[in-house]
Amino acid sequence: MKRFAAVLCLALIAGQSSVAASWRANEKAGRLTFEATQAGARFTGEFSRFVADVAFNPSAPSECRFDVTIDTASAGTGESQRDGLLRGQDFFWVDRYPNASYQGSACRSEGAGFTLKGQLLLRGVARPVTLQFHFEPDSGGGGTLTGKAVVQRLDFGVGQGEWEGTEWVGNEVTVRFDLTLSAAAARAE
Amino acid sequence: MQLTNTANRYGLVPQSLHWVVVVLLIVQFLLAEAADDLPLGVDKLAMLARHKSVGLSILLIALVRVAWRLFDRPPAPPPMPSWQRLAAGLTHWGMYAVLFALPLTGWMMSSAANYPVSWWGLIQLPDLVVPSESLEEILHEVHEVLAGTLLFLAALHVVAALKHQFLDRDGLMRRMLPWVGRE
Repeated sequence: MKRFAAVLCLALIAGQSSVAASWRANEKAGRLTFEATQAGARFTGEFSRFVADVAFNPSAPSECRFDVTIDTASAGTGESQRDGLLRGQDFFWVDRYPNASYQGSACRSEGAGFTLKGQLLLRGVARPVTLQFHFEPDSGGGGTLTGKAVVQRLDFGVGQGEWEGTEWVGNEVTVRFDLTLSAAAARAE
Repeated sequence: MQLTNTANRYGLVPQSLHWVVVVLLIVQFLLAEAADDLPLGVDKLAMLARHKSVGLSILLIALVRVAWRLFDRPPAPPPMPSWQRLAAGLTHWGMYAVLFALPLTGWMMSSAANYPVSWWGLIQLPDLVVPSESLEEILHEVHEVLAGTLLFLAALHVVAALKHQFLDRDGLMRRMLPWVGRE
């Protein structure tokens, strides 16, 4: 019986390592930025409020789960006129769509990092978006998640009317994230 | 007409640069006025983008003009009282200073507003300051005061040139005109 218990314990411990660790992180644990272009020049903005539920184990990427909710009204570019425009109906339309979300599971190991093909729901439109990211484990069982996704804003209707043109505001937007998944952010499964 | 300056006339290169800048400055004032009246929209972005590209071009030309002036001495002006000579010198160098300061404050202003500058969409320039709305407001004011200063100096410059041409009839203006008379 003792031996059986010990074996069971070992099995549990061994099993645990393949279960993805899980965290809940928000803007205090990292940054979520976006790079867009106006008149051929790149500028950066930031979402200052978001919640990311992440389950990830680098040795078992296929078990990963990402569930990120972004407060669209928190988009800031350092210039209030443009921020107001972003919140308006022609861009994020935050009155109707206060949140954007990204969900995906089954990450794949690719080169030195990982990819995840998930769904981005933005301004009422859901479309597949692929994340490319790296995971840098720390000593406490957590780590840092760094990556990006390239999004075509017009696929989601971000930019209506005159803003559907791409001559002065580019279609391509690069979203970057840098999240510290610390022990403090760890969640029980 | 030769490319470089002669004893009594500006060369083709300095003359071209001078007149090109005159045209570009008029374009600049028109673009800035038009953009100022527009709400944030594609048209405003387009006008300001052109305003920035033209401004950078003026900055580049100003550099060339100063360098040229250092190596190719301007033709001597006709005899005039020394206070006029001094006033002309101050006006000229004042205009050069503003021709540098205007595009530079414009560039800084764009950086402060987090609207980085590109030259005709071809090259993106580095940001000179970090984004800050309060700094942008100050730079905007400075930019407008400089624009006013340039208008004042340019008006002085034109009035003085016309005075020499039509009151003194000393042939001063011909030094900068490509089509009037032979040497």
